[in-house]
Amino acid sequence: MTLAVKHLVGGYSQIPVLKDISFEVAPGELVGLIGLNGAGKSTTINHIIGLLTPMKGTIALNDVTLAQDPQAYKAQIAYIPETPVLYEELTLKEHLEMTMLAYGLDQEKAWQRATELLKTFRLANKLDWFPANFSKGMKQKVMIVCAFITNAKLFIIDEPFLGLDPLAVHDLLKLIADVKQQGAAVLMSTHVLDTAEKACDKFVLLHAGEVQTQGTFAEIKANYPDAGESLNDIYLSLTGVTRDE
Amino acid sequence: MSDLFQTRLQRHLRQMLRYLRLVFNDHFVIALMFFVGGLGLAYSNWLKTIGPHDVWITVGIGLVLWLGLEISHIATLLEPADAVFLLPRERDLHAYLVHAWRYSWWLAQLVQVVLIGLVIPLLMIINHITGWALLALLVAQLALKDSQLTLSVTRLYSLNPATERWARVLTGLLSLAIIAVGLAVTPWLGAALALVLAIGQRYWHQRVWSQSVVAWRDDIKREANRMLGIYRFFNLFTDVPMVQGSVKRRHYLDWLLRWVPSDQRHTFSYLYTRGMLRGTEFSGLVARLTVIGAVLLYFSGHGWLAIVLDVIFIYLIGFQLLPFYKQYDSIVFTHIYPVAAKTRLINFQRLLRNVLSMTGIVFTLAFWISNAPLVQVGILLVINAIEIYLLVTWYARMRLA
Repeated sequence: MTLAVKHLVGGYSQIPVLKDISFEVAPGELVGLIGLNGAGKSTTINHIIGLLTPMKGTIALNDVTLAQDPQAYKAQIAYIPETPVLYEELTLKEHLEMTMLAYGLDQEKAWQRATELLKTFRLANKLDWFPANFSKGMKQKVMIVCAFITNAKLFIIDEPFLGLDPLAVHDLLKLIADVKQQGAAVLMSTHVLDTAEKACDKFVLLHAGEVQTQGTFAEIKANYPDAGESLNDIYLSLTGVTRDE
Repeated sequence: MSDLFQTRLQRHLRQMLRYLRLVFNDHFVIALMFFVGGLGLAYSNWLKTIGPHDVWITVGIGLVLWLGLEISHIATLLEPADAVFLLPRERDLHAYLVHAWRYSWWLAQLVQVVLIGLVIPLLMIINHITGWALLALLVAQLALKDSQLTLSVTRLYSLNPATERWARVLTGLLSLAIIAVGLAVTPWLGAALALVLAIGQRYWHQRVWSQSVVAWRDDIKREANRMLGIYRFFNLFTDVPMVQGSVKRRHYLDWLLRWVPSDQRHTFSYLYTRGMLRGTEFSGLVARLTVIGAVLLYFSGHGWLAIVLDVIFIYLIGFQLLPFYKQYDSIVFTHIYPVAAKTRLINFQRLLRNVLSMTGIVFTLAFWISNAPLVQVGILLVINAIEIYLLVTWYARMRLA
């Protein structure tokens, strides 16, 4: 298993937001992390990328935990945050170079890959720009390019579909398919359920800090036969039941 | 709406007061008193040397009065969110702006009174203007400022760009002409003309505002710029969170980047070096303190005072650079790059060592060219090396690790 989250209890303060969460992401698999605002998606992701330490439970990446070997653990992850963040003093080109340095990538190969990606996302002529001059969508594309030049085993993508134009969404989904082919695992949180339904192999539905259900779309539909036809319907009926809580 | 302005004004004044307290701390007040006293003395000495009817000085006074009209603009205290939240009450905004106008008026006229007060001695000597005529000159100046302020209130409304430009040019030129009349012909005529201009401006404002929409975007931008100017001033003395250092490309410093090794163990050197060279906040701090320190060292005479100054300034720079280590903590990638925290600290120490060494060299050079004995220059060099070593390897690690 690339990513194995076992009985994770965690959160920002003493009071846990996540209550005993377990799921796995296998190599070559795209797993959608679905949930309402405040369900615990971002908290889960922050635990996996190592910003938060679990109170209980373990998170292992190819059997390595953060506590065992922080560098080996972190080197396996590429992360695309929901809100793009960039270093104000670095140009686009330097962001790529910095990523290459940090992940110890072979400069020549990485630049080959970067050039392709920059062309795909129409950034090739903006190499010397500072982040201050980028629109939000462009910043997000920079994040995507930086993530996909690494040889990460696990890609974590936080809500990628808002703020990207349809062409970029299409290109991103193609990139995800490519890295899956090469054996990488992808964990993606999103609210855009109809895109998720088409793209993801499996789903983890979070609600109020717990995993409500998980599995392939067919499995979930079989578990809740009355809930509806689309992921949207199932999701709404599942969360609607507990709205008063 | 008038309540809204009062609330904002109170908040604004409280904030200004807080910063002023920081600016006018004990030492600065004493320094300022000496400075102002010195200037006053120099001015009064100069007054004794000039004779009457010097045309150039009259021209100079006119220009000072004219340019002085530009000091202090309308303070609207508008905020970016206003364009959304106050938009439905656009008509009522005029009441708010009238309050802002009144506040700005008193502030601006105070400046004009001080300005006139400063040139009165000159006017009495050069132009033999005395008594009531001086009062007329004051009235003229205040009326001119009033008309200029009225125009800037009118400009808060969205005018035809050509009209706006004409109004500005015309007001500027008329003001200059009226000042000239007041100084060269008679202050009474100047005052009368200035009053006519002020009344005209107010009449025009009344006609324009009710038929125009508020130029929200421009107004908010103008107010933000005005506040930024104030914050920049305060930022010279203390840290102002609203002034975020801007980023400059500084191509001419790129040669310094070539010395940074390009491998994984220097990932954060890559970032820190560029951040230091291109950011304005920390590089400005280093540059200011280095220049001030070098100048002080040059004039400090030779001996223990110079050495104490040198040690203090290098410590000050090193100590104030420490927060730069955490500059990028808010960016998630700083934490998730597969680079050990220890490596990041070593990278930062490297930057600190390089910056302080450069400062140390500048200080030593300044001391040397002030004709200090070579033995003392040597001692200074050794002390610098020891201090920088201790600051970087011991003090920085203790504070940051």
